[in-house]
Amino acid sequence: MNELINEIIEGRYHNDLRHYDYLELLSLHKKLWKRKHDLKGQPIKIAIIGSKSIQLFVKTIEVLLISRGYLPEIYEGEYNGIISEIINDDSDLYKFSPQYTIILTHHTDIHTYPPLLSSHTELKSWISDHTRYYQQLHEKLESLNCCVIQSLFVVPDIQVLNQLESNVLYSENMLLKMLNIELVMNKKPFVHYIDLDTLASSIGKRKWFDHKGYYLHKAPFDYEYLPDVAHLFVNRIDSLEGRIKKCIVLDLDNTLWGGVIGDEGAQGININQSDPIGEAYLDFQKYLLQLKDRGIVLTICSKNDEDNAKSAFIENENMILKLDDIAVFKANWDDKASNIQLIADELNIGVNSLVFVDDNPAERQIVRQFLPTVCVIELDDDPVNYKQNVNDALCFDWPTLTREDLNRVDTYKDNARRLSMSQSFVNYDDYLKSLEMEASLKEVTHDDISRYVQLTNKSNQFNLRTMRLQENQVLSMLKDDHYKLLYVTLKDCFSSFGIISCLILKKDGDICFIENWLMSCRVLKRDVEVYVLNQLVLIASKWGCTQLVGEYIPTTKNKMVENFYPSLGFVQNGHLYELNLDHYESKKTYIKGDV
Amino acid sequence: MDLRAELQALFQDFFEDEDLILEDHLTAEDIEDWDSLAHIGLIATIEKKYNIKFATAEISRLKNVGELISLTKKALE
Repeated sequence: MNELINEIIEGRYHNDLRHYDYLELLSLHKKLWKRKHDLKGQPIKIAIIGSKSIQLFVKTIEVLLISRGYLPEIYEGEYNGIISEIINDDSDLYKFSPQYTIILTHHTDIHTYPPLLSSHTELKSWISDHTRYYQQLHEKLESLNCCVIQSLFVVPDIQVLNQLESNVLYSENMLLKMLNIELVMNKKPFVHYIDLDTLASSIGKRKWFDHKGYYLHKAPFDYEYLPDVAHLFVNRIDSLEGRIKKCIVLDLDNTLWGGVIGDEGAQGININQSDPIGEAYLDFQKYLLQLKDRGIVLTICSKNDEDNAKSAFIENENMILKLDDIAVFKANWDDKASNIQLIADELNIGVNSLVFVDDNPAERQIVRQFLPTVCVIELDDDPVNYKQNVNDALCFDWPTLTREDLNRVDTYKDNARRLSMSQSFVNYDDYLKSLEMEASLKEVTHDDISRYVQLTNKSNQFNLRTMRLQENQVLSMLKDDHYKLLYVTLKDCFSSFGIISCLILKKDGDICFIENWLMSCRVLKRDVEVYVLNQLVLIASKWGCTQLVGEYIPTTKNKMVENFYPSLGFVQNGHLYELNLDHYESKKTYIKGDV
Repeated sequence: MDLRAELQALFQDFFEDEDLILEDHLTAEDIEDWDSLAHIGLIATIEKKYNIKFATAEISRLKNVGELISLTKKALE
């Protein structure tokens, strides 16, 4: 355990502590606490409140956060503190001012139910009263500009009415289920629910509920499952902090099909619907296709001859995945770590947003060793479990899903077509001209907020100040006249990219400060930034400003824009960059755009 | 190793105190880190090590280490 502690403290630990039980995690917590002053990482303030005993939950959350490179400061609510602390403006919770508030609910928080045989109207009013109660708590928290991460109710397996419980709406079980649904239906964007009922069901509710623990020390569930619960909450914090996986890298032989294509040929591999293993491989492919449909980029990395590898996709009609579904196809005899790096480079995304799936433990080990930030999935020896294995790794726990996410996969494919077109031009300007780009720059409205926030929080490379935003912060800036929130959309002859760049301008007298400027790396080297500057000058002048001022705040990931402002003609002044508007002459681009 | 010695090693490990001697009259008052939270972990660690489950009444009435040792002994029989 000492080596683990050193790895964590030195920031070398990239795994997820999945194999440790709660007693080990608590002991790890104790040991890390003794070296508290050596801990470093991204500071994060989290309030955790709940109606039952939450101390061990808090410690588990804390140790997971530390292992993932955060330096948490945690406010632990009083026992039974949900109402008092949130409702009271003077409570320590408000003084603490958290970025995230975790609310761990329990079915015993609901004290009264409508009587048996109640009418639908009575049931509806009970449901909306309880929903309203939580909404009010959330609204209070909204004033703190924090995200709320709340558990949905775990429906108990005690059924007074036996099976009738699920056949009538007035039973306690059904009411709790309906309350869960109603909560989600009335969810505000800054509220995120964690579905503990599904977790408890997969574990088995007879194991989940620990009556001894509940009566002895008000344990909300069997502590054996503390790690599972804490992982769900910490995953959500991770994804809200922009740590998101976008792409899955797949092996071929014995991962997508049974057998070795090089030996058995396109028709010899096992993806036969009539064979148990073949059917499992087909189902796994279907699952991967579903991942693609929700915006995960599929890529292949296989030790194979390329023509052989592709022949399965082209010649075997049973294949669910087609070549067209694959954004990057690497089949060669080089080592996988190098190939995976190449895949990331071609897609222009970080290696840390990749998930690697390979049946060969040796390959997994190599990737873990050389690319420690890649999420490597432990596959079972039996292929029938692959789908479950990928699912249970919970890699793709995005906080939102937008139209752009669903179209992104096509964009990556179109990129490959652009790349081949660009190679046919000798002159880069001719290439840009041929793309027939059209852009527009608009002010953010309510409809665009979720994509705006998502792009803001996950862009790392082309990001001048790496400012992270929550939806409620955007809402309050929209109401403030000193701010302009802008976004840029782009399309070309191949595809529409949707929102690709986000900016925040702040007016301070006659200075227009660029509080945030970021761009998706999918549209680099197309002069979008030049187009944006041309527009910014117009906007700032109309706003009554005489100067644009920008700032570059270095991070480990944004070196790409180190010289961004000077390259656009800004003059450095201390740590800021200034551009006078009166002498500005619009720069040439090949982008058609409305002013 | 007899049960007392095994439990002493478990206590030493749990409270990270190699000099801890397990005597019957010892209670949570006597060990600095032995608070209610540590108690939950301690009982769970013993239950896990011996694959036993104490009854709720037994745990809630525990007075001192002597009783904990005899309770463990009883559960193992």
